[in-house]
Amino acid sequence: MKEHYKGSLIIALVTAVGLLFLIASPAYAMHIAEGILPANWAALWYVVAFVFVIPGTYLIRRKTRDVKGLMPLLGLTGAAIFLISVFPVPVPVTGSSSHPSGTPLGAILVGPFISTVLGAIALLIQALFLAHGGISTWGANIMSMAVVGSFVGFGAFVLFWRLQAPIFVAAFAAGLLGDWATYATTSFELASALHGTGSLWGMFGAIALAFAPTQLPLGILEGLFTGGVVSIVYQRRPELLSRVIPYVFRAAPAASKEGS
Amino acid sequence: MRNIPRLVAMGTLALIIVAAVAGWIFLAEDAPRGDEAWGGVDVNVIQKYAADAGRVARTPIINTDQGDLLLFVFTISGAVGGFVVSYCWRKLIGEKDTVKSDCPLRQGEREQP
Repeated sequence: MKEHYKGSLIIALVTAVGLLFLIASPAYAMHIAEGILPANWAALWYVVAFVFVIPGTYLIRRKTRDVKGLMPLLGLTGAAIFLISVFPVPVPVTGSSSHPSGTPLGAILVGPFISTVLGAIALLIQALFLAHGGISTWGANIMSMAVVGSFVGFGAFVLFWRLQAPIFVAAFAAGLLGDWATYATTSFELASALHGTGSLWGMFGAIALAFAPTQLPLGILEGLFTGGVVSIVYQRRPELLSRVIPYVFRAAPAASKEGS
Repeated sequence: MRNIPRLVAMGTLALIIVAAVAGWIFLAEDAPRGDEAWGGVDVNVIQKYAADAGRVARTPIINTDQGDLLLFVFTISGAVGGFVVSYCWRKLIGEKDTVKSDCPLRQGEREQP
């Protein structure tokens, strides 16, 4: 088999396995469902989320004009975020299911602002057609999964990359911390809207602790997946990464290239 | 000495992973469980805490969660998403031999046909 078909085969197999999981248990999501948040909180998260979405939209327009051949990368990243964020993974020992975010991977491939826009589009499709999330809670879900997942993942990647970690390790850290940060933000959004007369941080801690048994191992899984995909892209088409976010990859430490 | 930042980064990450695995096993017994096995955290965590605060999830605007309709929509969206990922991956990675690299990181390192 020719080498350049191997990547396509891997993606096809991953997609097929993903479909099997989706068929087995379709309705489990991490997103905040329609009607959970009061209207004032839902509106607040819309405003905060669009502070990030609007510059991201502008960046997409500018980058697609300036960077040749960006559209397939945007298509790949957007579809990957959509699939990953509706991919329910049953967690052994805990006995529950949840799914990764996909936005840390997107942030490494196309940058955090563009990844935010792609995450927002994925969340909108899920809210409209897949009964995942909701239109009223779209802003809150954008904030947790698209904004925080992208920016924390990207920040972790840059930090570990600057510390001369191998590319796999830097991307692993991005996936791991981006995933956990997403759920921490969801916990904060719920706690801030629903704590009533009780303690905000007490409720935040309780919700985060309830997420932890499912999300701790899932973060590791997201880290492994993110590390694997970014390593393959870096080894086979490193110019894809350096074109979109050049200020990170032009400063590639020598040790990282050796370790990748 | 040049590898100290790298060792610190990888050591920190290793500690985080060990703590995460320990936390997973330690907390698993107390994980909130719903009526169904392998229930999602949206029901077991989000909707549980929302219900305690008097908020109940509303029916989605377009309610596909009816019978096998949701299975159909998931299958279609998974298939379309999988097709897009595969097609774009092939355009980007599979056809790499036809693309001349101008990468500042690895110029000249990759094999050209």
